[in-house]
Amino acid sequence: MYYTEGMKTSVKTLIEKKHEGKWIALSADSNKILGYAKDLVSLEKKVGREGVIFTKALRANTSYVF
Amino acid sequence: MAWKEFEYSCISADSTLSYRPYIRTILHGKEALQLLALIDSGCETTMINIEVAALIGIELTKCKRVLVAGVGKGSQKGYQTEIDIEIPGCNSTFASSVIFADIPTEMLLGQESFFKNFQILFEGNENKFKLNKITRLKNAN
Repeated sequence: MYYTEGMKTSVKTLIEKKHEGKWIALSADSNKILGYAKDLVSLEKKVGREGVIFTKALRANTSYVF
Repeated sequence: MAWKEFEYSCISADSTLSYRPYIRTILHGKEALQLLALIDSGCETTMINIEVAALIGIELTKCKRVLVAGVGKGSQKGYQTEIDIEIPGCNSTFASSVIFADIPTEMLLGQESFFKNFQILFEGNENKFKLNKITRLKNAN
């Protein structure tokens, strides 16, 4: 049996060029960007952490190998 | 435990970047923090961006120093410790060795310990992946 759970709205549709390479604070349902900053500590000070999911936007025109 | 299905995500404005298997995690150090993480079978140990350490109360000076190498030249310093990682979508928490290092993304769930705790089925053609928490038998050898 399978259960579907995850981000219903693609984060891709939220992220703009200004977010590239920056830390992003997403709402709990991942439908809204609450804030963004160059470093994580200042972003957390700005938006708090209750109900916030943090991520980091990848840069455009960059091929990543993790 | 039943398989659970998740959607791939793209954390970029660049339409040429593909969707990837990201999942929501909660990291439990002295404090907790919610962070997306990329499931990465090529990563030996779970890696966390070094900026996260301060926010979950990890003192890097008390961590074991290790070297981290990727596809580029040389290696860089990493700080190894153990934390609890919660996967809310699976109602599961497990202890994991992690390395804090200067990586370009937020977190990589690697072979140690994510792949030891979950069966993982990637369905990249449908932008989906499935997880099944492994339940270990008490008397299993």
